[in-house]
Amino acid sequence: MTTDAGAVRAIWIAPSADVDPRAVLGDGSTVADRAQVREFARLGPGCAIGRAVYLGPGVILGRQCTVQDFALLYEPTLLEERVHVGPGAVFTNDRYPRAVSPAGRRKTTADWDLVGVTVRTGASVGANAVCVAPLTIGRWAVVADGSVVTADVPEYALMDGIPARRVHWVGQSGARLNHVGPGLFRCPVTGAHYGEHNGTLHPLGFAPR
Amino acid sequence: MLMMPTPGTAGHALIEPTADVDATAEVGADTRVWHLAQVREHATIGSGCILGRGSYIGPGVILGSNCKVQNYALIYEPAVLEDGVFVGPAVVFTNDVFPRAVNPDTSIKDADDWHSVGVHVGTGASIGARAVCIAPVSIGRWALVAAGAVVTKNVPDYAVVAGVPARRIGWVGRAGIPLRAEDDGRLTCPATGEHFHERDGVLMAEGDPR
Repeated sequence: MTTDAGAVRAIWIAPSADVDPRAVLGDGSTVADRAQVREFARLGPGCAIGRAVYLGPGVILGRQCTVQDFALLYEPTLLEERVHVGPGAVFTNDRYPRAVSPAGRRKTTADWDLVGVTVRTGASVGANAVCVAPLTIGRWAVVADGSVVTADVPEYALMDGIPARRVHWVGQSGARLNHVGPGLFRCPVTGAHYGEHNGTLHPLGFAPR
Repeated sequence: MLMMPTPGTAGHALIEPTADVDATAEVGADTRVWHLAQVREHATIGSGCILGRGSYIGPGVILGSNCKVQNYALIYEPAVLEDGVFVGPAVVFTNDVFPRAVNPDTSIKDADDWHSVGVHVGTGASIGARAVCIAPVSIGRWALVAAGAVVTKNVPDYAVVAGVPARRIGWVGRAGIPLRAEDDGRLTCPATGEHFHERDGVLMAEGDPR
């Protein structure tokens, strides 16, 4: 795991990337070729923005988020810390999209209410997944490749399908948890135990071995 | 094609320097072509359209007025979009029913070895993010294709379709908001108050000339 210790690291922006001067990038963040970071976007330290990624105006990323190639994050997306967004993922901002009003006039941003996707610490969104705002993805949840998420996602949930449903639980490692007792799960990678209660999962903080 | 009013006064199209608009393409007044978009030869784009960053408009594709094509949407020929169509980010309109790189003898396919087929989108319809429309297919007027759907057969006017393959899950009005069922069997748009009747899987607006 990376840490915040050590010297301040330089920001790197590819020459072909388009980063608005009003965007703010944290130390050590990188922006790859042809990515666009719009005005007032704010990135914490150590973020990695892939090729041709789009970050809309005012989008916020906490520290150490990775956004992979061609992902499109429309405003007002909020990523907490250490969120992973896979290649080609799309976060929308309009539940009822239309190019024009019922009378046929072109819509402007004043004509619709922006709604956003919030992704909490440590969660991962797979390749080509779509998150249809408004919704929140809980901490350490995993959205499978190609899923379409249309509702809030609980912490530690593994979501899959169109529309996405919870198919399993995962731990902080991202691995599927083993069911080791009534309401009791264990991570095969870290050995950490989790308890399920009323459809939510909680780390137990101790290891009954 | 149904023509609709264009807002504002007519002005020149605004094309970003990194966009690649072929000299034979026609781009209407007040249309905005963003960075890295490509508009191929003989494409016709109406007035007041927005073509997002990295979007692709194939040769001879036709867009009406006030269409909005979001980032990295790929519209292959011979697609036709009427007026006021919304195409979400990363949407793909295909043009080949049986895609193959090569002929059965493994020689590479050229333009004479396959027939391109198109997607037709009616006035006011919306295609959600990352949806795929597999040609030949027709999307009805003011229909709504949900994000991530894969459309394989024609979509009626005002229908909401979702899933893989896309199936109808409801109806919407021109505002894009789901219609409310009334006690008298009619459907009402909560935004415009417009009333609709459903019969045999077809929705008609009251006073609709069709």
